[in-house]
Amino acid sequence: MKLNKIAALYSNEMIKIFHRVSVWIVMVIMLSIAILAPIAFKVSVGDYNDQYDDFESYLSKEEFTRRRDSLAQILKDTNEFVKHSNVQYTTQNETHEVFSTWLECDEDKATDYSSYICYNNLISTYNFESNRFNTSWLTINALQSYVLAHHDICYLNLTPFSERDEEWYKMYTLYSQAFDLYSEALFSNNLNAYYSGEVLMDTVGRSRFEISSLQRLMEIDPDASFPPDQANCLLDLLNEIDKCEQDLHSNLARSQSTLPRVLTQTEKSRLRDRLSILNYHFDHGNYFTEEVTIAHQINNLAITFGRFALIVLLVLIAGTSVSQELATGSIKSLIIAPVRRWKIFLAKLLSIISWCIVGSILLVGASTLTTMFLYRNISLPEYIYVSGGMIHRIPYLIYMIMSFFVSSLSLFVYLILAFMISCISKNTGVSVAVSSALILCSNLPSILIELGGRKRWIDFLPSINMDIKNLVFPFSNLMNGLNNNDFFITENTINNSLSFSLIYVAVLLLIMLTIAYDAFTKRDIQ
Amino acid sequence: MSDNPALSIQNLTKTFGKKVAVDNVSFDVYPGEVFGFLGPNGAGKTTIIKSVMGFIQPDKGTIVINGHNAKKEYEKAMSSIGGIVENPEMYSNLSAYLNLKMYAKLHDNISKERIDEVLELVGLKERAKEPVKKYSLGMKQRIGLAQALLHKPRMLILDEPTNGLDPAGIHQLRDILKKYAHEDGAAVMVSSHLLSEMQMMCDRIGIINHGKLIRICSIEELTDQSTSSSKYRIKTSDPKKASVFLSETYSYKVSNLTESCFDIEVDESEINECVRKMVESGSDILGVQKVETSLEDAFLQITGGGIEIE
Repeated sequence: MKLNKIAALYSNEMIKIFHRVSVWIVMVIMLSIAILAPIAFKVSVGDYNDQYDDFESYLSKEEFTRRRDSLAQILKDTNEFVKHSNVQYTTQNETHEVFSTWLECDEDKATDYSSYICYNNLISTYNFESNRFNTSWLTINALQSYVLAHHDICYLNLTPFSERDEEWYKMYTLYSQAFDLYSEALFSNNLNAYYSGEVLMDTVGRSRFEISSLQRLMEIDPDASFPPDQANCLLDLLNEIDKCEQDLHSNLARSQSTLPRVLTQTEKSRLRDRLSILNYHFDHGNYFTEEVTIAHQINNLAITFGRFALIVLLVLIAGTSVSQELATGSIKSLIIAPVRRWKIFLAKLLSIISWCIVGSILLVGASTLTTMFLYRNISLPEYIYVSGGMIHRIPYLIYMIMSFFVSSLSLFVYLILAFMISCISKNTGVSVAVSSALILCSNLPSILIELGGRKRWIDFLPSINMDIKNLVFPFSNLMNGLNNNDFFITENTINNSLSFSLIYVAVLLLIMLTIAYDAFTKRDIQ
Repeated sequence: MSDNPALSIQNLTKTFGKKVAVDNVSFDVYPGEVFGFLGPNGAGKTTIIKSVMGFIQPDKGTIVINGHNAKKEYEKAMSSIGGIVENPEMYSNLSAYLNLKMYAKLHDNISKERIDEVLELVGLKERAKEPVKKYSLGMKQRIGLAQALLHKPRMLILDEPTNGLDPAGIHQLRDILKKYAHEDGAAVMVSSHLLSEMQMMCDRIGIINHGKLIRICSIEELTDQSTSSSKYRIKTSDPKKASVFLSETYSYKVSNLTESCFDIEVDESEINECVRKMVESGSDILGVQKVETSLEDAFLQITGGGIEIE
């Protein structure tokens, strides 16, 4: 019986909101942003595969020929500065006579000369058709190692014949051996040769890979069949796992921007969870590929834009809920009805909350589904977390909606504020303006921190306690990929605990709702 | 009239800041009667009506509607009340029909047919699907009446219901209200600052001024008062002398003294005596004429002015 009345009031509130043209206009704007923004962002980022097509044409035979020819123009007559001679080198009482080259020029010219020779060799020998550079991480890395080793040899050859000593000869032999191995790797697709070359170059600190990483990569992909980006992502993941293990082992927090310090107990347990999650990703072949990260970021960006429209929509509904009825006098037909005022109040509050929920789901749903459709050939990342020592997964769409709710706690608080002002003031403009202003000021704490450093009182500002996303979803940063993801910086933006923040926000809401309730139920309708 | 009042107000007091809007007002309204609430603008009529309808919280006093205390059994009390306060305000972007439907949901057991019935009663059935913002003031008044009657309230309260209605509309409203009280046995309370309107509609009238209920009487009593106390216009050759003689020697109330005549307030039974005294004192009586006191005059006497006469 009593619930019937509240349900009737609630459905009336919804009817009123549904019949407002402004609500529909803002709603259409919001959904347009949610659907069109991912498309626009994707177009501006460009298709990921296109990037590799460009990469392919960049590394084509035609391009190499063009570049070789232009280098030939610059170098003109190579006989002028390239001198050959048989030179004797003595190492450990052995004498070697070697056919040597002396480049009588500066370093830049040596680089050009080296590139010229490399292009020449590639054009004449490399099979561009059957062995595309973008298909495997080996070819592209071998190409680069090959060119760099050749450069290194040419730099050695800048030394005049007379000044070449035993040390020079050692280096020359090493680079030459490495160069031969890289050639073998490049021209015959030989992973072992590449590995040997890297081991050799590692002795002088000139390898492209950490040898341990390369070993693990070879273990996972012995045929070197992964595309280059996938291999890079895998390596990033392996490095991140290494770093986690090292930090845990040494019990030290190390980051690029702070001095090392001893890990706290919470950091330690969170780091342990992070390690489990990274290992889970590794085991399941999720290598945080760039395309997945870009898709996720595009979706996030679209939601951030759409959120502005959502704020307008909700402030419009909450801020005018009571004040507009007071201003137009339509509240009379509510007061005349045989329902107690607290029921009217509750129905209005419920209608605002349900619009908050429906609006959020529509925004995040539209944007996420659009992004998922645009990137339908890849699967967007699940949110993975550890609870009770077990790995749990949340599907992408569900996670996006949940995390939006959590990160929109502040929005909800401001809506209740708008509602409160709406109950106090007959002036619709005041309630809309004040709550909009506060929403715009919600970045204030971060500005204060930047200006004056971290002060204890900042932790008691409302907006910092409403920013609890990192507390509720501590591993959400991993969804942005491993780059720019420094555990010790991103994980510790809030000093307060989750329960403190939640109690703080709950008390704040309670105070505002009490004021609103009091104002609404005791008010004399004039 | 039955013994149980449909509305019973006891010692109602409401102040706004320092201003006492309603001062210790008590009265009852009974089923089957149209009760008129008459007073100048700002007298406190609307404040009393708003207190009854739950718009404002009275400082003191009890309100009992259909046997239910408005404070303790708010919803039961309010379900027997229907009405319009000041102008009827609806959700102007919604249709009249939807407005009524939304209002009907807040009551128990109002059928769709009942909505059509009241729309027909107020003559808006054809335009019920139009948004209320397209309505004229008169139409809004009608739809307000439809809303007030929707749940067949035992106590119908209308604040200034004839605002914006054309003469035909006023006539129709009068018929509806009279029928609703006299035939359907409901109590109807109507407020107005127009006496002529009250005269044609009401069975009893409560007169209110400066927040105080001055008098409750039937229309007949008010009319009787206007006929029982009389004024006579007396023409004499020397009105000044005659008037001074009458007021100083016999303490008659004299007014409107002019060159040729003056008015005297005297009971019908005493006028012959009065004329004889004047003749005896040596005045020439040229004529004696009764001056009719209207309902308005009677009312002005009671409230001390401030009523708009149409």
